[in-house]
Amino acid sequence: MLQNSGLDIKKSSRHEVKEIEVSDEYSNLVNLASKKDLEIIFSQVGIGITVQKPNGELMFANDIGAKMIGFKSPGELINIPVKKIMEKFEVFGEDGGSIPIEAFPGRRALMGESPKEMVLKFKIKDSKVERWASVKATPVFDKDGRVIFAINTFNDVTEKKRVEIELRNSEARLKFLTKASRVLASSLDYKKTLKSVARLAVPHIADWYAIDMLNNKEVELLVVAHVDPKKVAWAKELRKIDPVDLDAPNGIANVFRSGKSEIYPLVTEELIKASSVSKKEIEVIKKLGLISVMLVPIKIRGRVVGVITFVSAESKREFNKSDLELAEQLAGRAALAIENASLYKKVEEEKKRLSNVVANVPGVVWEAYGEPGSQEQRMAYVSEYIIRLLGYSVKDWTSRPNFWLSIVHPDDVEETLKRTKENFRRGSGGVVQFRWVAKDKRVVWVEAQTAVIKNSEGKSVGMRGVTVDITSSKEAELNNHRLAAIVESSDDAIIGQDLKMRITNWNLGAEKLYGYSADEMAGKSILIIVPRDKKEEMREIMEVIRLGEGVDHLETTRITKNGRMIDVSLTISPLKDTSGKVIGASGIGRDISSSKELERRKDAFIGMASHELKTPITSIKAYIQVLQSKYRQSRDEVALKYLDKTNDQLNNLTELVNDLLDLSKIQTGRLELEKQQFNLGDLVRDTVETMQGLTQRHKIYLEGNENVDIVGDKNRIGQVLINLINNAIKYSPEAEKIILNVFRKGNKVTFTVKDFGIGISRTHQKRIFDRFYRAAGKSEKTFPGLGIGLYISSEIVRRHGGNIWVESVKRRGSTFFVSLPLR
Amino acid sequence: MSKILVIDDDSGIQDALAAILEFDGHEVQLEVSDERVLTMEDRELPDLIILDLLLSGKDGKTIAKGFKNNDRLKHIPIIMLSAHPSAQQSALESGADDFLAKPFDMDVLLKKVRSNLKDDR
Repeated sequence: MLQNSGLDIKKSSRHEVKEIEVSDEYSNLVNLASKKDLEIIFSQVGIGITVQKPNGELMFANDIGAKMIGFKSPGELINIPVKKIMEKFEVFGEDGGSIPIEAFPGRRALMGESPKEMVLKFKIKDSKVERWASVKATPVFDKDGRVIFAINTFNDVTEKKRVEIELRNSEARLKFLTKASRVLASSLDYKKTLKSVARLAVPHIADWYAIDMLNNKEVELLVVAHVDPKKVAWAKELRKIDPVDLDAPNGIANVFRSGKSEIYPLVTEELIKASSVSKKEIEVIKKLGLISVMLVPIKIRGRVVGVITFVSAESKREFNKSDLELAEQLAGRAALAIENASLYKKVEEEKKRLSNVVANVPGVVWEAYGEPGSQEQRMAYVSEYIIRLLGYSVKDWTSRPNFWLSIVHPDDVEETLKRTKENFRRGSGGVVQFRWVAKDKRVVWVEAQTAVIKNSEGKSVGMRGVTVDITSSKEAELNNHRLAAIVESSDDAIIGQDLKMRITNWNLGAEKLYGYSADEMAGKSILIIVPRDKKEEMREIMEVIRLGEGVDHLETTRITKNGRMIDVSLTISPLKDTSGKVIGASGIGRDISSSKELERRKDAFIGMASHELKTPITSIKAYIQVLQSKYRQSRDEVALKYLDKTNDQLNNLTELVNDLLDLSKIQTGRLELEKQQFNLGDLVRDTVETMQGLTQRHKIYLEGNENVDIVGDKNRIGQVLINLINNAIKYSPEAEKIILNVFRKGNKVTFTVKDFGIGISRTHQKRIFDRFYRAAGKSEKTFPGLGIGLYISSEIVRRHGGNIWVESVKRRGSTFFVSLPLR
Repeated sequence: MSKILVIDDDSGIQDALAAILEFDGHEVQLEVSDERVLTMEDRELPDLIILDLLLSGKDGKTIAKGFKNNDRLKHIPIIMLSAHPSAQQSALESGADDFLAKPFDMDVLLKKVRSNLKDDR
């Protein structure tokens, strides 16, 4: 505007002196325009212009310029003393600090400087008006370099500044909120984080920051912050002395009650007076230097749990709507942080509780996702019991797909996977039994009870369940199977019955032997297969069983389904329950009919054979004896000697054959006794005489005799005597005497045969009367004989109703006793 | 010099008996059954019969009974021979005059033969 004027105002450095050349144009202008016109022009200009005299007084100002510094019109400004002007306003810099006169651009220009443009805030005293202007000042020199005046221009940038400030505030708020959010989210210890936020809020957002929390109807001060720690201590103390009264009509109490924020952008004297605060409170407000207050509630699901207080004091900041929004946002985040913490705590407690419950389940509680066996399978959860059970860590289980399958026993893998997959695809749970191999190679039987997890569309996505250790019961089960199989596959008849003789078990062997099926016999009495004459025997056996004893290899008879009588050998034992009480009996029976039959045939054969043997023996004996007679006549001593020996051997042979024949008779029950009355004494005498003739070495003494008559088979009794005397001779080869005695006592007569031979040991004494038993020891030579002599003798004595026994001392000798009844 | 008839189906026994009896100076006729006896002429009849209890086909006791019921033969003494000593009782009941168990002693046999012959006379 002034570009084409005559006035050339050139920018110059301090040291350059400018000539003012008043151009023709200016002159023209001066001539053209009147002062009034100039005034009009300047008043239309959009910037404030003032022209200062070197003494600071203004010689010109336009409207805007005047208003800028608080004057209504330029007229008021012109030529009044500087001091008066300065009273009108205060000047602040961008940083908020006041600017001294010397620093004013105008002043500096008057000094001849060319100051930089400054953005200044003009605060008009006595009013709230503040305006920001970009101030430029330029000195005008005369031809001598003296400043004749300074030109100030004021460019109103109030709006711009406001926007700038607002933007900065917004940025600060956002930064604060972001930081605060991060802090609040950083930890579940909301008490700690809310305290940390104080450091961000103070002094950037407010001068004071405090949080009160509602704890069981009591208000607790959580945190109070201020840059001055002394003031913080004072505030804490104050709160202690004067805690928040929830019934109070306003303030924090009101916020707790209403749940609504409160903002007092500017607390003035009037406001205080108008409010119903107490004197004490007024004091506090004054002491705080409280200018502006914001109270925002922390709400969790509609319930107010705390109140955040922001106070502006020293900074003189006046909280506005945006500040309140910020505070509310913070409160919102705080609420979230508190809620998160409490939820988290609840979850942790639940988890712990659940974990405790799970830990006590005697099984593995697990949850897995993905199809079993596929690469997508993963174990989401497995309880710690797994460590106890198998020795693998939880990490092992969750580290790779299908770990659970990799430790299934190789024999069970295929079946287990198949069944598990089936359950999964079908979408229904199930029970699967299989073996796992523990880390220490132990085999563990388990039973998995599973359920399928489905998504909202009903598709199977995983499985969960409990897998329990069933090793002991499984082993018991397998053992039972094994035992049952053994029983079933046995050829022998295995029968179980209770104490009332009702059949509880009947194996295949029993079916085969007796002809009845297990179904037919279940619950029926065992007496069905017992012949009439053996029923009493069966009852006696049960008596023995009740006492906890059994019978071993009892030979008896039974009847089959088709009425056939069979010979069986039974071993019956008592069945006891776990407490030891007898609850039944179990018997193993074997068909011995064939073996019995065989024995019968054998015995019959022996009988027949020995009978047959007698024939050639008779012949031989006859010839021997004829020869003996012949040689006696011819007195051939040598021939006679040999023939005697031959005859002796023949007699031995005869004796053996006779014994066999007797044995066979006893076995087949055909030993017939021809009972007659005879004199025992005579028999004994005759026998002793005969026997003495057979031995040179021994002398047989008859120390006592009884001339009693007894009834019996004379031959057989004689046979017994001969057997005993023979044995005495045989078994005392070193001795020289054998003593016989016969005596009567009561209604019995007893004869004894005593030798002084090798004797019989205790253990053998019990067995010498057994069939086929022969005395023989490692060091002793075996004695000739079949070992049936005493057996036959004992049979004969028994058949006579008598008794036979022995008293003996090893290496001293033996005494055999036979007692027979008289009459 | 007496004539002794031996009825036994075993040749070994027959020969043995013959050896003993002939040594003692008796005449011995050997038969396996009672057939010949029943058809013998009076002058051919023996002075003594030694009869085995067990003959193939026939029971010795029945034969003995038969002899004793026969007028012509009943006077002849019979010594029954058996492997079973316990058969003595029933042997004597069936009519035998004496009994000898096998195997026997030569002396015992001869004694019985002599005594039965003497009785007869």
